[in-house]
Amino acid sequence: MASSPRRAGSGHVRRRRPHRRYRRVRYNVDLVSHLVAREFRLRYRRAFIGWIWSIGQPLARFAVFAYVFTKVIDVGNIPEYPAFLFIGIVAWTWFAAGVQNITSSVLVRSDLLLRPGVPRTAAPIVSVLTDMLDFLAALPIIAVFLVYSQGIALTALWLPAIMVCELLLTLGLGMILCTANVYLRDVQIFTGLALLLGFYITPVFYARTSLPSTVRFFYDRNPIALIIGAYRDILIYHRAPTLGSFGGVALVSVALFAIGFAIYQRASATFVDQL
Amino acid sequence: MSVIVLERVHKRFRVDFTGSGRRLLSLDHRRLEKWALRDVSLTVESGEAVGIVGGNGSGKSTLMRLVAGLTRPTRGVVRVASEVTGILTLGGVLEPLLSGTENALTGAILAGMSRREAMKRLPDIAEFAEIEGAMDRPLRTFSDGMKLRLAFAIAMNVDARILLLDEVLAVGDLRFREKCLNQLKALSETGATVLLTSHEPGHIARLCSRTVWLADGRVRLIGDTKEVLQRYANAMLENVPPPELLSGGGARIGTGEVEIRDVRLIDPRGASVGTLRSGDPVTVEIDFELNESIPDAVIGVHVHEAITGTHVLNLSTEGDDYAVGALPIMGTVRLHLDRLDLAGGHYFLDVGIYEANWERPYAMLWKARSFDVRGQPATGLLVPPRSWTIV
Repeated sequence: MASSPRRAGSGHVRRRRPHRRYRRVRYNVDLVSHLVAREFRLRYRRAFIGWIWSIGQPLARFAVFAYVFTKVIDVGNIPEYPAFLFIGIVAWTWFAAGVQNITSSVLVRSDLLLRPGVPRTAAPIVSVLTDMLDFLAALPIIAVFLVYSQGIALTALWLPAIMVCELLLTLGLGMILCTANVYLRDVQIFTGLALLLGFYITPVFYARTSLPSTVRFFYDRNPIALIIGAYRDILIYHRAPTLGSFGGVALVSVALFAIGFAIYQRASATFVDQL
Repeated sequence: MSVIVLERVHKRFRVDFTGSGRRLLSLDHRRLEKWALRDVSLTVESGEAVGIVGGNGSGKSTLMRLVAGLTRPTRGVVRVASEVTGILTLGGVLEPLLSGTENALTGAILAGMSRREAMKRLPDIAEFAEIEGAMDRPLRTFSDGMKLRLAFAIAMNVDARILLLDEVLAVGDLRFREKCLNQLKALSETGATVLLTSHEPGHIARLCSRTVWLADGRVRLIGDTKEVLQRYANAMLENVPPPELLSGGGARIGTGEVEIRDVRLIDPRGASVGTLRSGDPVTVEIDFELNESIPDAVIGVHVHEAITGTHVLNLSTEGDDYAVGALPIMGTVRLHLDRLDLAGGHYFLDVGIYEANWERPYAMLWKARSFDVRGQPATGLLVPPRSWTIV
């Protein structure tokens, strides 16, 4: 079976002068921010309460889980469980929705690939940033949870760094799946199933400590579980990440992003032929 | 200065790669490849307007996409010296729920303007599209013509050095088209380079000094527009000899690579018939013979009603995704219809074997056969099986 698109001979060459670089970068920022804002507005366009849904959704999910896991199923004694659960849900949702949406982004926004001058990475980047806005919208709610538990400490300043890790991890994984999905649409269906499973094997609503030690080995190698753990550490338990606890995840996120970006960048040069 | 240079460009597609894996595995692999462009070289000077003509599937759009940098050549080099903008697809990003203004802004940014520039140009865009009064309304309230005008107005307002237009000049009414042509002419006179494909030779003749004629992915001719268009038009006519009238009132048209020997309607018992019962299954059989070998073809079967000439059936192997491939020297095409729910009356059957891109008919029999359908006469043409209920 034929695999990746064939590498072109000398390819498309566009001469670029250095002083154009700056304009190019500014244009790309304009483009992406415009498209993200547009997409976010569109998502809740005709809804009566509009963008408030971006907070309402995780809150509703939280309410359901909070009831089930405190009243119906025992997940053990987790300190500050409401904050613990809500942070888990919000962080997991960004990752899961992000990966899923990036995977189909090129097909959903195929028109972006038919625009001369629009960078080919626009589709996945716009997709993941739009999902990030939902995450950002939930931050004030997280703050409320924290105020009612242990308060907010200075360790919360680590938040942007951990968010960058999650962003890179999501993008890297998403771009690999997205590339594969252009050739085989099975990938987006498979991704949905894998994420459904991922929700249960990632400690979103239970704690790492309730896992048997054999499973803990895998937990400690699941980057998104570690990222969610890091959010909880800095926000709820006021523990700053250490090189030992978080250096590995950061490295994996950066590496996965680099790999995903490279694969996508190379394959996307001929995506248009497949659409 | 040359702004667009193509050197011996080849482009190969893998057809149907994104189809289902099962279908992929069952297909002949050679058929999965198609050369959309073969050995195309072209140099366009700054400020030139160049037209591209050719039939469907001749490689025009592929050429445009390569110049736009949207995809890479399989072999050869494409060099483009400055920013490119253009309309290679209409609509697309237009979002029905957002207002005309918001859509125009998005369109302008996607066409290459910064946000500031786009904001500044909005009034010009609205004015050119002649929709100033409607810009605040959601796009879903726009007519198709308004949407197209908006898309076009955006492209016309981008200060790009290279403008690509792929079959989009058919936009709007005659007057708006005229306006676009004038604007394009003005842009090209101020030094913009324009590349234009159109089914309408008139547009190319008015705008372009030079024209490229593509046929089957290769450059057939490059040169002075007038001459190329003349030769292109002649070739279209030359290829098809005048129709030969048949005794039964029909006609035989075609370039002669294939001959249709016989056309039959076969009823469920296997007999060749001239009368069918409405709702019965029927098989159309076409016997053919090749005078020349043919790598691929499209086969069409059409039925029209005798009095009004209304087409009631237009079926083709292409429309049904049936791969014909190389035809045998002598053979029979069979098209089986599970049922034909025509109203009682008199009908004609037309059949044709065409070049794979529909460019010309190898052999076509118009009114190849007449047949009667026996059944309930109706004022409409269809009498499907049915039942009434009132609840």
